[in-house]
Amino acid sequence: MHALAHTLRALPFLAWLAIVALSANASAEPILIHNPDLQGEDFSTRSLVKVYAMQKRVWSDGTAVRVFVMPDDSETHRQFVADYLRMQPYQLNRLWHRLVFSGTGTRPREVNSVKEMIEQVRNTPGAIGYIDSADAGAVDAAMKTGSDHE
Amino acid sequence: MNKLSLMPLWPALLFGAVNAHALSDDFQFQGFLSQGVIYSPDNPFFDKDTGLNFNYREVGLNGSWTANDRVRLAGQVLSRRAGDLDDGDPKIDFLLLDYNFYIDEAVSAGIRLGRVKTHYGLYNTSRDIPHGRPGVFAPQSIYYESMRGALISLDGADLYATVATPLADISLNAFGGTAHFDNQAVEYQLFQSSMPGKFRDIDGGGFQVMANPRPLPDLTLGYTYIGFVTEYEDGPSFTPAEVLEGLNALKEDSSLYPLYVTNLELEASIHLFSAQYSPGDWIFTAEHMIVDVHLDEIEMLHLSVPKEIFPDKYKSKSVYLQAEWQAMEKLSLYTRWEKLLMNEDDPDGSVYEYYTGGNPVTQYNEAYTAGSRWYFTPDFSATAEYSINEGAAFLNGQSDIDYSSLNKHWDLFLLQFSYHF
Repeated sequence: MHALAHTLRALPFLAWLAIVALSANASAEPILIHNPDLQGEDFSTRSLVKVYAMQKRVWSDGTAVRVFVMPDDSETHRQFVADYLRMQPYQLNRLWHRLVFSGTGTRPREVNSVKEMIEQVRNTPGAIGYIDSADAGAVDAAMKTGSDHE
Repeated sequence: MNKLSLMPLWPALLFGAVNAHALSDDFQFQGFLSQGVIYSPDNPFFDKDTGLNFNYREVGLNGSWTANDRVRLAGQVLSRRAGDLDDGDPKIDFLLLDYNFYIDEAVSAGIRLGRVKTHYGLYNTSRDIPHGRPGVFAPQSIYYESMRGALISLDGADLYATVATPLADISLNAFGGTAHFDNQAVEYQLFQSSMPGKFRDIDGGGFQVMANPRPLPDLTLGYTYIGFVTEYEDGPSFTPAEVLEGLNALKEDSSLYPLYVTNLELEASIHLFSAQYSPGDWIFTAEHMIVDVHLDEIEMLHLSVPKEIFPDKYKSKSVYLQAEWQAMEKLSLYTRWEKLLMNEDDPDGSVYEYYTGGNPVTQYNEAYTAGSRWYFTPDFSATAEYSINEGAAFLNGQSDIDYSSLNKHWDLFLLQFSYHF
């Protein structure tokens, strides 16, 4: 009886915790987007790491890979790198520095807004990028087939 | 002179800072700056005296143009001040045309022509990139300053390929060409003194194989082979009377011998084994290098030198073990143990001292290093490290120091601020 009273008293606090947790999660949940023509490609973590490390150069049909990113300091970028690539943004940045400053490669193309990201990925063959799930309504299902990364 | 020659770079730098990364889709433009603070209380490091100095800075400007999916042009100008080892004059670090002539999902192959970075170990291509190396310098036991010029880049070609096989992802490079190396550093590396003649540009070549096994993709295993050859040119010539005089002078002071070298061919074969394992926030790295040095046709005062007096063949060996930990998003910590023996058969330098009169501590170096890097932003960082050294081989190649007074035990504190744009 006593225990139940305790639990009941704690309920509002637990509910508040749950709401905070859910809203925090919802505000920074990135999803992968890709050009609608890239159906059935491998969007596993292993493959995405190669794509974002600029090592995977073409998709299975021979289309050149085009990688798009948000600025380094954007929360969506940081969450995407952590969730999808299981890396830290600084580690990825370091890989790009090593590529660019040794003359062996180029860094991904940077976009400055969600709108630009969606447009570039939709219109560029072989393009891959990410947006915040809050903006997921703005893209077709055909661009989100790789968003289930768990 | 040094400052003047850098002046034209600054407007370009400011322009770069504003227009960083991308001028258009096909052009990329970026760069980096770094400034070091060196405190070396026991031995001179990048300065003729012990103590505090600021003689280490780097400015790099980099651009590339992607013509299409197959063809790319890339170049970089680097101004590097590293004590008297590098004077800060801007140099073309690389300037290359990259033609990716074959590409499918499993295989990519191409060629880079022009001045290309030498694929040597895990860090050579990124040793001058502040955020690309693990600390203020790439590990000195393998990437030591005096050999830098010979190994940094080649005017020639680099054939490359990456192959995804069921067992491993493999990357291959094969390269060859001419290296414009810094004579002074090599003379001081070999003889701890300036010589009347000079070594001609190096002809070199080699290959590198790196593999990431499929079952352990976080593991990289690599092997690099490089062979190079150079000759001593424009050395002095002596009349018979001068030869006699020279022999007498050598009897008095054997350390004068570099002045009397009249002929020398230097050949080196480098074998470098690399391993890196990077699970999650950790990176564990080990490299082991063997350099077979062959000094051929050595003549002093036009007389061939008996092999008993001057070893014509020897092996340099070095190794390091290193751990890096991205402790927090903005903080990485690292530690390293490393050891370099200039001649494996003379680990304490005593043979060297006996024959040349030189300081034995210049023939080996063991070091323990601990450091940390803090990222104020993804592009701006401060790196601080502390090393304890036994032996002073890492200091070879500097031309403005007194080798005879180098201490066996020395500490080094380094702080470096780096900015990439």
